[in-house]
Amino acid sequence: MEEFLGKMAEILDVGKEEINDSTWFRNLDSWGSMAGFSILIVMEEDYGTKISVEEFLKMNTLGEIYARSKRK
Amino acid sequence: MRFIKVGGVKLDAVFACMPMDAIDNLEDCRRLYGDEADNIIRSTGILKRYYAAKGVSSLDLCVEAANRLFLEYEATRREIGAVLCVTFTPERPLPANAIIAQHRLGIPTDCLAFDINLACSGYGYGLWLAATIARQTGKKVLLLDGDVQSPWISPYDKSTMPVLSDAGTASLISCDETSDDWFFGFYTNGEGSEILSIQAGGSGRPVSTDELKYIEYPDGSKRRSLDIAMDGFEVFRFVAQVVSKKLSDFITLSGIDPNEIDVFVPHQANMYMVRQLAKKIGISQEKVLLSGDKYGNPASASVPLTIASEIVSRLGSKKRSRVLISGFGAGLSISAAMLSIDQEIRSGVFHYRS
Repeated sequence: MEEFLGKMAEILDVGKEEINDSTWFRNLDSWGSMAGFSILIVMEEDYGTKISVEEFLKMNTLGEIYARSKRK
Repeated sequence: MRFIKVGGVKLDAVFACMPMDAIDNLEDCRRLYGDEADNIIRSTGILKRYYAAKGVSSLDLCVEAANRLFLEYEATRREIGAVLCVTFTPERPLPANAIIAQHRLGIPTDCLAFDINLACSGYGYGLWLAATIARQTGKKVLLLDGDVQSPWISPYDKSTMPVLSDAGTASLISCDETSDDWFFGFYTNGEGSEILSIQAGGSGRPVSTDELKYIEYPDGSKRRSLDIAMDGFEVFRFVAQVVSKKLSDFITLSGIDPNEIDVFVPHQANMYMVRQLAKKIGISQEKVLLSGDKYGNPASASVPLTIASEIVSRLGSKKRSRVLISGFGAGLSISAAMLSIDQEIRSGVFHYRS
């Protein structure tokens, strides 16, 4: 989870201490569709998990994304 | 990547002609996205876009760019041995833009002229052909590159509307024995043809009243089958995973250390994607030329437009700079070129006046 949050912090351009598994990522100031696409690529490349855009649009917290990860 | 070397050519001048009036992207995006529009603008970094006025074609913009080039570079039209035009939105299906341009520009009839049908990857292809033709004929080559995409952009499409733009450009290529070698790289994967496409309006699905109906899609977008359709995530994936890898391979093949590259001119897909791409291939952000923030994404014209707009301020005191360019998009298709550009290059951007 720590490593995952580190990657999310980098994509979302926030400090690692500012986010945790219950963070609503869409409420962050730096949130945008490109950050969302970057998260999907990281999930594929680093966590071996394909998430569709449709499924991703229903997710709200970083914990929900991490729960789908196959490599924890 | 298909890797090709061409020696003994140089880029004399690059000029771009933008439509008259800018569109405020935030205001236009509010119409479709409401309060989320700020997120879209922050995410893509595109503040303004340009649409040609009704009836102004890709050819009109390219011809005006070429007229300005002849005025400012003081090349004579008699020196031109070939006119090429990269476009997927020609003024009309027949004849080609380049052919009408020969006549409108007063270029001698003993020349080659033809169009190259490609979208965002097109400029590298055009430049390679121009360089090859210049070497084989000993004549100067006028390379036009422009699209008026706006007739094929649905105002209700959430993927294309916030980024795409219109522009016309003209570049002049000539022989120069003292120039450094240029390297080109090309990649094609037609399996991805549905990712960025126009479904109707060609010989497979000719224009009919059926194709004029707006169809609603799950993301809330509406477009006709005649409009440009783009799967935003698949394009993003292509750039993040394939383009970055192929560009790194290309730089290695060219034998040039990434640190020796003075300037990187990427296709202006959107500002986020371009910065991420530079990061992935190991080119520092201050070497990346951007114009998409103020001009949007005008397909293949984005590379010459960015050169026309930004190169002079970046060449500094260096007599000859090493410049990497790359276009990528519909196809899926990639072009890359490692060029050397002299400080004396003439360039500029101006606006179309009817």
